[in-house]
Amino acid sequence: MPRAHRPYPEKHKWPKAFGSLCPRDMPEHVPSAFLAQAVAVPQAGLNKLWFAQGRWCFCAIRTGDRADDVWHGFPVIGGEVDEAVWRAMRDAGRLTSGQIGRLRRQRRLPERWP
Amino acid sequence: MSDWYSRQFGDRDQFAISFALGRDPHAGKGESPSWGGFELWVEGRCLTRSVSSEDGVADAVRWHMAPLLRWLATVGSRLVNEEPFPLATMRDQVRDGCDWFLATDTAPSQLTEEEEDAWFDRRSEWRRDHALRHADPSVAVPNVVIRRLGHDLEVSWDNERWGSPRPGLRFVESRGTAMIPAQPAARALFDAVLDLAAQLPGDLLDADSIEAKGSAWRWLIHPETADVIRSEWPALDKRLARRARAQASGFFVPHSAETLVLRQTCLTRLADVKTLLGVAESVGDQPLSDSFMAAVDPSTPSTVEPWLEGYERATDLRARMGWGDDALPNLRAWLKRHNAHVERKRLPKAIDLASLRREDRRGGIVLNSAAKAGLRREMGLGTALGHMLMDHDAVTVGGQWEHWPSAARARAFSVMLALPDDGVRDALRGHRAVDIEAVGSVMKRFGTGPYATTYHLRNRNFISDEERITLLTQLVA
Repeated sequence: MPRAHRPYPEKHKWPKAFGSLCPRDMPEHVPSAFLAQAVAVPQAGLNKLWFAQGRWCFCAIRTGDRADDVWHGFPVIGGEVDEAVWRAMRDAGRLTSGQIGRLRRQRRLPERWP
Repeated sequence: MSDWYSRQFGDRDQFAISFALGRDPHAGKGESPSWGGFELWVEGRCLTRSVSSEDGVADAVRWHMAPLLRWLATVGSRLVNEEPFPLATMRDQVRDGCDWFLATDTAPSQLTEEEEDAWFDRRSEWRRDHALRHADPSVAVPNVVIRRLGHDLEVSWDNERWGSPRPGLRFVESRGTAMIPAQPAARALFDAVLDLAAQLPGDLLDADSIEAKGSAWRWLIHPETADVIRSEWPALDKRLARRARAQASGFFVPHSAETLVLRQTCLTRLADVKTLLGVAESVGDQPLSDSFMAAVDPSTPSTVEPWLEGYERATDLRARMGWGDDALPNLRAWLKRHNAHVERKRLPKAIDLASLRREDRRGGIVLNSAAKAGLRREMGLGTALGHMLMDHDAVTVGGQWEHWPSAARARAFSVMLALPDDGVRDALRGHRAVDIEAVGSVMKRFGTGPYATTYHLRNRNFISDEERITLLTQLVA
């Protein structure tokens, strides 16, 4: 069974909530594709998955019951990401050292997708 | 929105954190029992206050509180006790924890791949335990970094260079640093975690598991130095652990006389640890004179342009001592006349100077005789005097690991004391350009070296950066 994506739209809604928001113009199929390739990095937090591509890095956490393989994600500023995540992605061949260096120096989310 | 729990811990004029718990508007999802909000207040400023295009102004961050509480419980002792940055940076003007993290985003080029990995691991580990954003990456919280600094907590925030992970939301307090007494702030955080744990269902936290242990004194100094003490000086290790156990309260561990000195540099040899602790006792036999003590006025250095206070205090001291705009008297002899111990001896490489002013009014200065030539060597005595007059600390250690705001203030004091503006202008009068001959006139009149003279002329806008490099190259050659 592939990991399932179930968005968590409540983070957007009233009463005021401060959840990190995915880019508005991100196509609907993208989260599922990312989830399929995301890696678990226990040193950077249990029950989390990580994925990075281009200028974006995402973290996913379980939606609802921890027993389900259902997830929702959110973008993380590259400069905030734990080094263990970059190491795991480099070791898995997902990112080069140069790409990691650029993301590591990122201090704000890109304004547009992708 | 109705909250069934709301409580503030601490004093907003110094440091306070407040939590609220309320009905989860998204019932049925995840960790709904901890839905609520938190506010962080430092020196009367609400660091969590935000403006959002959707919701206007809010003081609290509203979200699930459990991850933040778990993070605080896990890192609490390290958050409020760990002081040293784990990596030295060659970059100047590292004013606080926020700056340090940015100053280390590129590893030194001479490192091997393994060393570079270790560099970034240590940097990341430090941020994980000191940056509020690491509590929960799924929520937009301000970029706030907390660390120990002597008896204080240094709270720094930077929402200017760092964006928010929620487009349209901006934190009102953009950039700043505050020094607040560590013990009450640590108590506020500890009490908050315990009280919230009691409100939430399940065994979220256990007080015994989060209280600082005897070994927590190690966070107060560099881990390398703590390792040396543990393996090679077990008597001191035991004494510090016993003291920490007896005096720890919640997350907080107070400094001992030894850790207050050792926190200021990184020593990896037992002999160096013993040398520095010995230096901390190098004070004169007699109390510093009344006229010297009248010039002592400790203050917390500003993290923004700290040199301005150094300039001002140097000008004040010149006026107080009647030195006008002339060359300084022999500073070493002057210090000795005021009962300060002055010594030049071989110190560990990472140390340039130590400056002491104890509660019993005895004081002293020890300069590293092996310090490399350059500005710090030329200005060492005046810089140490600046620390004696302006720092709160009984002992200040200058060098590779110094606290930049107080070091920059003391260096500015030193150069302005040696090179008063009007005197420099007078020495340059008659010269058509600030060339090597003109700089030579200044050096001759004030007895200053090439590094300090060109540094000051650049800082006071007599010459440009480029001109300084050219002049210094010629002078040193």
